[in-house]
Amino acid sequence: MNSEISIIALSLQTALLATLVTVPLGMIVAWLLVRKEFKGKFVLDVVVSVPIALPPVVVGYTLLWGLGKNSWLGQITELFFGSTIAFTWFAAALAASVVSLPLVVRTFAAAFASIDPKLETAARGLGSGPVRTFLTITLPLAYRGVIAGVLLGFVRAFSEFGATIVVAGNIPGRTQTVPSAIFTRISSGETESAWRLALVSVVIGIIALGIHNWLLKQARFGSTPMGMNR
Amino acid sequence: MNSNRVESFESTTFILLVRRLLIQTVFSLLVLFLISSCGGRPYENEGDVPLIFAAASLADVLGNAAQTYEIKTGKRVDFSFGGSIALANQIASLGAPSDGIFFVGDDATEVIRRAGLIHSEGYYTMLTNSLVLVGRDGVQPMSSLDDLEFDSGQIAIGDPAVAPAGRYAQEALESKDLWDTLLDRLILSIDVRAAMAAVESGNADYGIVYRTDALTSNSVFILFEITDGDIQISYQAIPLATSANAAQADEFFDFLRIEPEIRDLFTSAGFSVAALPH
Repeated sequence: MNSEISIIALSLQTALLATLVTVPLGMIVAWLLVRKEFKGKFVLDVVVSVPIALPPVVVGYTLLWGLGKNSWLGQITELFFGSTIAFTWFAAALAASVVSLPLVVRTFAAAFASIDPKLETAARGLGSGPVRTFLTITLPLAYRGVIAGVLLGFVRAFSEFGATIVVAGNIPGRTQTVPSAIFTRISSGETESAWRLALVSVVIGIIALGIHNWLLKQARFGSTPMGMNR
Repeated sequence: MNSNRVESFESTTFILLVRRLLIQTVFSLLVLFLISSCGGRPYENEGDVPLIFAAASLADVLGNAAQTYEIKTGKRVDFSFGGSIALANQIASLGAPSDGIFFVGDDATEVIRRAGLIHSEGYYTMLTNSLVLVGRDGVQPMSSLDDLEFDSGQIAIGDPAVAPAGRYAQEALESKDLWDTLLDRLILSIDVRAAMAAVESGNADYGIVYRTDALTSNSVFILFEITDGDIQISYQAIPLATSANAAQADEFFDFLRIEPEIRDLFTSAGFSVAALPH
């Protein structure tokens, strides 16, 4: 029972770190994809979206190949920190963020795209810098999509299995997340424990959806920028 | 003029409300992070806790042994359990940070040796095990592997590619020329414990597993011990020479070798414990 609590805690912390990374990154990427034209935009779009199109184990294997003991990046890490990032908790968080980033970017991009760019242009014309415009015009108007993206990213990061198990392993106490633990318990016949952990996953998913709905219900402002109900 | 002021008041309120919502979201995530930290902080440096990769069949007994170790010495040990060959490949090709290995059979240890991670040639065999045929409640009783030919039930074994137990099962069946005949009735599992689980859950009627695994279950029965193929099933505990916490792994292995309480733990689980050399 005690070990199950620590597994859930580890999974929560992994998913939260992953969300903390993907949300700001996702906002920047989504805004670039929606509002800017530049060389290599197509490449950015593909690179950010590709994890959805791949089997998660392939994502994990690619990360391992790029960061592990046999890669130049891994050897640099080993020089400075004494060991590579692979098979550590950080690798688990990294795997979770890589697979959830495409979902976060897509949700944010859809949200930003639904806002009339003329409003942003107007703000810029009145002297507001790009960051201030984003924070005071775009973000507030897109709040529904932003909240949805954050929660979707969190839930996806929490449920990641394939990539995590390849790049971080399944080490109890270090990198064993809830999905990995359920898999091990199914494999070893500990069905009761597997059910308890599965139930926790379901509850967390329902809570995330519940928070999502509650936050959206909080502000019923209608759809005009000035908050007037049509 | 007046209408402009009213509009700007509403938009300011709107922005303030959304800012509050976003702050609430971030705040709840942070609170969640703090609460979950009470369950442990995996990002804190593990320091000198050795990470031991061990065969799946050792999961229960090593877990208990580690508890005893912690009570007696105050030191902790972390484990990663699985099919020995799968773990060996994780260490050798993927760079998994293992400090010591406790595998069954030579194949897995050979992978590690070929990767240059252990030095000496002669290892100390700590434990031996035996292969058994198990069956679910209510299956046809059998007394030798040949009897399997006359049944139609599925047989669970470990996948020979990743689990030594599967390789031993294959050797035993091949020694009786039964491997090809039974091939399409075989269920290959990721390790020997998964093979047990397949039989326990009723998805396979029979299984070829270790005696020690069979003893952990109340719903699955040993039909007979498999002696065909003249198979030696031995476990060796070896610290990896070049890893960070190899010394701590070695300490733990010495504890397992010498401590009488631990030897009793192994024996009651069904292992045969090798005698201490003089």
